[in-house]
Amino acid sequence: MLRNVFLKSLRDQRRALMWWGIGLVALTVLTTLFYPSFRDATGLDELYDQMPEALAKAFAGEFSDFTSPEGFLNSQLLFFIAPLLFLVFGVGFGSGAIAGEEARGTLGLLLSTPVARWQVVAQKFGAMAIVTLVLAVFWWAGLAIGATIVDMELGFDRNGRGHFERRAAGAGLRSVGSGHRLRHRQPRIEHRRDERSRHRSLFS
Amino acid sequence: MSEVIRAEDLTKYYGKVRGIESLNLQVHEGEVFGFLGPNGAGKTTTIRLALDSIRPTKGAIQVLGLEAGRHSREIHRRIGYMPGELALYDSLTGGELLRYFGNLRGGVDWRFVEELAERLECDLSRPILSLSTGNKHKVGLIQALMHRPELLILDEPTSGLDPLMQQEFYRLLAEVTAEGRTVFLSSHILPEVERICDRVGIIRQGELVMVERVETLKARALHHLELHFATPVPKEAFTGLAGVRDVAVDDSVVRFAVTGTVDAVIKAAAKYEVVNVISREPDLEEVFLAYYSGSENHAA
Repeated sequence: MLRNVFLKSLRDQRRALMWWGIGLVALTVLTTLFYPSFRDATGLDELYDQMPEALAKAFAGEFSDFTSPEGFLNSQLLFFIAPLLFLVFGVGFGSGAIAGEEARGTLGLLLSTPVARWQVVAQKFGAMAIVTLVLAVFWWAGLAIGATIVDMELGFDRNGRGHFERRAAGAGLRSVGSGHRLRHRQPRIEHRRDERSRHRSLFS
Repeated sequence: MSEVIRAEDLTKYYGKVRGIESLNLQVHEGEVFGFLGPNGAGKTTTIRLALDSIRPTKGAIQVLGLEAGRHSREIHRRIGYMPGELALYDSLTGGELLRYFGNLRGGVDWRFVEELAERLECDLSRPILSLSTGNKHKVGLIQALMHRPELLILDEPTSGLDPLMQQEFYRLLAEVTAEGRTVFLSSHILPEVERICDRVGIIRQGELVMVERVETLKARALHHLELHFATPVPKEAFTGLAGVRDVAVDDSVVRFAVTGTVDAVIKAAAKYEVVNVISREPDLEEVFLAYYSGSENHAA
């Protein structure tokens, strides 16, 4: 693990990775365990329907309910907490990677070796991407465990899209920094809300 | 004799703060060059310019015949560097750190690393976090020496080493130069520089004020002597002796400063019963002033 800057950076994250992994699995499993008590709280959905659209989006993004498995996971974990946690990790790792060496005074010695500066940055960035991906796997595994325990029926390919999988895996990468996700899915939100109102009119 | 370091009109300002001013310097192959100056004089700035850690405001510096800004990787490959404010990765052991830096340098002869560790009595299995300053220093030194670089750049190398280890360090440096390799070290301790260097450059407030062979410097060195006699002695016994000045007599104790050899003083003192001789090493500023007043005397 001391062959190059990339592996050394991975090695430095061993402990952080372990604790973050434990934390993420615990969070996802515990949250999903609460699902059964949300499942039947239809009042939440009514509340949602009464919300102004902007507020509803702030809570749940593109989803239109809190009580379906997807809607529950979306509002409780994926919409807000996941990007936030992965961002926190990414920012911590990224700033520690170069600024940390500078602050501890080890950067001077590192840069006195024949390793080029861009190499140091590139290798540390690579390590950050890998560690974040590993955390995303932990996150996904936690969700899968929790979902199995409470017997959630997750529509992995609901409307042929597989929100759950994609969101869970994507959460890690998102932290590396892209806001375009919300932008390019915006049209679909409208579409889903329309769909839902149609259903309601059928039943009323 | 080829030049290993060549600085031309090298100037570095940090904003408006002076780092070094128009420095011209040549370090020759196979010598130990001492860069002497008080803290903040610009020693570390010069070293960082040589390593291309920072870029000059004006002028240029060549290391091993290569422009520092343009060929820094090639330069880094061929030099060994030990920073003055040494910081190492606390989470590693000494051995792990040396493996890491060895790998970054494309592999080193591990038997040589172990030999160095043994000679410096450095336990490589201990975590760096648990090492004393002196022991960390040893790891830093091994790190600089382990790939047998053509040029060693050492910033305040002996601070923190106990006297015995200093001796071993001096021997290591002698071996380096015996192989025709070069050492450039900075220090603010004159006796140390006198002990190990061939030539000395004195830097003061960012300017290189002189470059001299150590023998020349020693010949003009200033000593503060304090002689304790069994009985009171006349002041006249010492005033007027070659190189002696600032004579002060306090009953049976005589204090004065001597430039160059103390031979005349010792012979004069021998006429009386000497109880004790105390010699104090001068600080840099005094050496510097003595050096210049010395040259004035020569001119006069």
